[in-house]
Amino acid sequence: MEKVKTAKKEKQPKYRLVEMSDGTLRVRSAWAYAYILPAMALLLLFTLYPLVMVLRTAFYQKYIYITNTGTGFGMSSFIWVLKDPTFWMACKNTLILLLIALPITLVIALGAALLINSIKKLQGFFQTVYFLPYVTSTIAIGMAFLWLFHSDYGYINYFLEFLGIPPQKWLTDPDLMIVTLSIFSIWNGLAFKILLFLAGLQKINKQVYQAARIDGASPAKTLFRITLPLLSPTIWMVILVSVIYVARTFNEVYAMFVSYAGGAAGTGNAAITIMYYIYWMFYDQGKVNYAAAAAILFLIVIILITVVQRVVSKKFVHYV
Amino acid sequence: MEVRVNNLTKRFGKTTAVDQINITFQDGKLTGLLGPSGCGKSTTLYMIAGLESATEGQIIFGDQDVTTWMPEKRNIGLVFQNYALYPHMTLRENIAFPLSNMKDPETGKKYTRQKRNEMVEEIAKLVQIENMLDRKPGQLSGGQQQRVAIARALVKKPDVLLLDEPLSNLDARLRMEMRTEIRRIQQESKVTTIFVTHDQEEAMSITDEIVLMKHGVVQQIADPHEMYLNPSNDFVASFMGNPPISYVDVQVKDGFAVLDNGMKLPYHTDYCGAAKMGIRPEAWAVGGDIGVKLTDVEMRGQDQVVSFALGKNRIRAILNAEEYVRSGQEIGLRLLEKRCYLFHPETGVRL
Repeated sequence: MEKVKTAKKEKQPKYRLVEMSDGTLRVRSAWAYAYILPAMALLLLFTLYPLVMVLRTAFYQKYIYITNTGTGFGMSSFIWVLKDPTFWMACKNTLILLLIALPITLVIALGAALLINSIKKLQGFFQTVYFLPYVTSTIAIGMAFLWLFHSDYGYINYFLEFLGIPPQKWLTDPDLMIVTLSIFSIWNGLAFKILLFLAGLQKINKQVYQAARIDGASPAKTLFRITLPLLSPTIWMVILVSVIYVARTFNEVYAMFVSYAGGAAGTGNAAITIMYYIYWMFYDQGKVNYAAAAAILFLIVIILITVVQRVVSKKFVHYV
Repeated sequence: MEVRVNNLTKRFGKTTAVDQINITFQDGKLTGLLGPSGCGKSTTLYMIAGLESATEGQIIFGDQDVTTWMPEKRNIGLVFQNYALYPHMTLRENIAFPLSNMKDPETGKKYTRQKRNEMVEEIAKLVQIENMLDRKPGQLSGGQQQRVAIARALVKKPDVLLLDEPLSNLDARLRMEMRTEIRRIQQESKVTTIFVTHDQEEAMSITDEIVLMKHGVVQQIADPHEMYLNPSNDFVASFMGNPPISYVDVQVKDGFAVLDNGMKLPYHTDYCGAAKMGIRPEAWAVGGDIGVKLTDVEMRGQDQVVSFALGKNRIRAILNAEEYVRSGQEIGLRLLEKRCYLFHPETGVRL
């Protein structure tokens, strides 16, 4: 007992308490910086430093990757990218994935989750089956899709033929390629969203549904007045995650179209996305400063989307 | 509306949760379904609500057999143990929700917004939450949420109000307050009410009639006085009252109940033979010739609970607070015979 007391007196406390504006006490200590140092170091090295370097590269007029030297300083890379029709095609395709394919994915995933959630038997089985694609590599799935969509041997054309529709060049027709990409993107995005929706649905108190039954609410009304509002935080979280994910679509393009068209994203780059454009500029065309400029433009758009999402979420999401 | 259940049975697989019960819940009365956890009282309530199906038997509302009716057709109000309010709706929306699914019996059409608001405000006044209708459930205390749940159940003017352990999530002081409130609301609305609880004190204090269940079987149906003063078996006697009744094994003969150790307690009855004698703690009083040594004294303010051994059995008694007794002291007690009950030593049935 005595020992503890003296020990306390001798040691100077390594922290002090600071009163915050709301009256709570917070510990202030220099040690805190030591604790976050590893994380900070990684963040600086792998996120902030590359970001600065990309910014620097984007503003060069000419840049040589091997020697890391650039000449001229200005907006010329940005102007070049903004005048490049392939960049705008990438923007259009990415927008199609975001505004058409993603909503379809969300609706299908929500429907599937509602169905799985309402069955009592084999729920675990279906949960597992629907989750399997998520743990399978996109490239591997892409390989399977390649064969499904194959113009001559694919099952999809075989099935269309069955219905009397002539076979389509899914992987090489520039007009169809974005459709193929959308279908792949929808399918590939389902698993994770179903899982998240299921988790959200299972968090809703079952007695609330019993109360709704006692109150005489029809199934449709229960869905729109009870389930969806209570699921809205989950729906919103899924949208947040998947908007960024879909905007960064790359693997799908690489797996399905690149093998047909050398380095480009399919015939005439028709299946290109912004992410693939950046990659293609860098590796295939070797125009590092253009790739960097496109990356910066992409970053600005993502930041804008995030701001919009913050404003929207305050209005429509019921956090309880 | 009078509610009757005839031979009502519920089996989950091989376990029988409710076993052939027959109860009549009187019109306009507050009936308590009482019993320890797992006795089938909540299952019974949920069968009356229609959220659980009955394995056998009938549920009759007034003169209609509703056994196979969907819950929404039964015109009942149900208050859940955890209230089950809609967390994303304001109190006004919560209470109006049942009305939005109904037709106005006067016009045969949907309720007008104005009429709906009037009904919500009227019921909010009854449960005294009229000044917080625009808040959401998360901003309320447990007691207030309870009131909202009752308002939501009552707003559609149900034939039967069902309450599932409505007070168990409240702290002790609120529980006392809310149970008188439930009594008041029930008397003002005059709706037939069934109230599930495991707390015998709660049941005795507010109900008109108590149905005591154990292992899915009804043990006794009686008003609170009758249930406490005239238990039909040892389970009822044990369950009602706090501190609980104490038991001694006795041989009853010639106006005495004789303990194993030969000690004699005066007891006049026609019965003769072995019995299990239940002695209510308040049957004892200081000043008599039954000498005991106190092993424990618990002062409670208005009275005190003392413990002592009688033969092999530990007995608890409530004594007047003014008697200054200490643990270890030897005192003489007398016994009030009418607060002692004889039960069959094996079956526990009252003799």
